[in-house]
Amino acid sequence: MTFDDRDDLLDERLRELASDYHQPPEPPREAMWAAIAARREDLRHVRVQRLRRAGTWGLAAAALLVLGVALGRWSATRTPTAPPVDAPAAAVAPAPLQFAATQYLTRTETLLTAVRSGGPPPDDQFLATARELLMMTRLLLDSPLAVDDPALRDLLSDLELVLAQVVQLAPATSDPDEVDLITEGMNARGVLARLRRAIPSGPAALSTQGAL
Amino acid sequence: MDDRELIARVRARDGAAERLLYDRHVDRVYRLAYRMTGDAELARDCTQDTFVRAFEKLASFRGDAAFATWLHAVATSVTLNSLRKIRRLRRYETDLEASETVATGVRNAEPDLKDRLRQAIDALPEGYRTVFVMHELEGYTHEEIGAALGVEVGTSKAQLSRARARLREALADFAGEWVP
Repeated sequence: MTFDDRDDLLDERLRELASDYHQPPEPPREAMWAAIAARREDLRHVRVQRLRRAGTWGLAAAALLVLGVALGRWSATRTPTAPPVDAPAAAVAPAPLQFAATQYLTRTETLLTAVRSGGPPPDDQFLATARELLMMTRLLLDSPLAVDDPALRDLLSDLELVLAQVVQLAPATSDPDEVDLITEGMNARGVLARLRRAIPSGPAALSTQGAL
Repeated sequence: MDDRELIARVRARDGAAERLLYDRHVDRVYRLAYRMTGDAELARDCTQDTFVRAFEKLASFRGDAAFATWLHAVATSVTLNSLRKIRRLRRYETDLEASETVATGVRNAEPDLKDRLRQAIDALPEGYRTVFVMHELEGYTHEEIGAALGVEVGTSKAQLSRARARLREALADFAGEWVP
């Protein structure tokens, strides 16, 4: 008998002896299925509640933004002369639009900081917020704020790209490669730094704390 | 109907397809969880967790690997995490007991061969034990183990070889009884 043959025999004997190790009983299939169905129902319920909460906030924010954009367009058509070239856009943008934009920028900064810092996988609420911010980005890109301010327009274009990637993240899973890709893109374009510079300090910014 | 078609139906919110998918895979998942934990309650919890997570994450299943491979990766991850939690809890309880009781000096009777083997398998490092249980007791291939644990096939083979060596060592006292 060679060493290999003997090893094979030993392995075979070991396997036989170990076959009793934690010998599984018949699975309780029905009981487990009932528990799985109940847990999934609970999860569905939690998800619906979260979506409702996120939806309420999202509708309010989107309505404000739409109002701001509309006011901006209306005021632009009513103003025969263009504002001075060196005047900051904020000076001519109507207050609701400015306020909505500040809220949007602050919330986007919070969301992207959370993405960059890793942390738990995105849940449904997180992704709903990202979708809402993406929609607001597109609205803002069409607003007088972006039309009058090339720096803001560039920033919004970059944010649109980043948020479009964020909304593609699979819920409740953490694929580090996808998150790394988003983070690398943000870092390469200095998105967070530009975003922070774009957020005006003061009461308008403070009033959005805890929005996300 | 194969898994691919069933998954498509599950994604379209077909409850009957979910049940079919469950029926098709539950036995193997439960067996693995039981072999790993040795506890009916825990095996049941791990199996339930596995299916809840799998159904919730089905949207992210890209179909690159077989569904069974993906499901067993979820199952091993859930089971190993549960065992780690329990081990931490037990270590804490043991520390408490040790501080409260004085050793009695009572020595257990000499275990028989199978008891010794059971203890030796329990005492294997987590990676060795997982590979040993999956390969030797549940018949997973090294490719399946590699995919489930996220390790190379060579690593799975090496860990099995080391696990066997440790078990043989542990049974050295019983050489006359089990060595052919």
